[in-house]
Amino acid sequence: MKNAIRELRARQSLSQAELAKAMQVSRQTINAIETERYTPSLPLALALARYFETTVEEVFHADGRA
Amino acid sequence: MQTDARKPAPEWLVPFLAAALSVPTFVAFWIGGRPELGAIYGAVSLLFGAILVVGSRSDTLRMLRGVDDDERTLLLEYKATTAMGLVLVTALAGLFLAAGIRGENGLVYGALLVLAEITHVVALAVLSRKG
Repeated sequence: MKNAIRELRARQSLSQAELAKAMQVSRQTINAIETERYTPSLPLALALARYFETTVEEVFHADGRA
Repeated sequence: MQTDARKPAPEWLVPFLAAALSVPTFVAFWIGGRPELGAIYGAVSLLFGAILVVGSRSDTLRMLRGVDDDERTLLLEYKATTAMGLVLVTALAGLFLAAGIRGENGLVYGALLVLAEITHVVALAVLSRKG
């Protein structure tokens, strides 16, 4: 699923490892989300949106799906 | 936020269990009068445990050890376990049919297939109640 994690992270000069630590997931999971190889669970998507002080819709784009 | 992940097991647990399995393996085959086979199978188990310890940079081996477990690794483990089950059941079905062709009763393979299907059905029933 397309998302803005990389841009949001870069805006705050955060490394993947730092974001991973804040989310209590592995760095590989953050990388997999950024490269659209993994769609996070709803709780993790919500946590990411809250962390960047935005909404899930602003972070994740369903790409044509309703 | 950690979601849907198990309580992390100690990093040494899986390599230790893999290595420790070599002892009962050797003893069982030694009791059965085939210590040389027990030594070979035990060595394979020991080698697997050693690879898990040494290969710390591999993402796959880290997942096998349960390092940095999270929702993604858990999902990957479910999928990998499903693949393993599918391969095992397919192999058992093949062995069951081969036993039939050879004129054997194939009881062991048939019983294992039934056990696998019962496990599948019971797991589905229990899991569906949990949501």
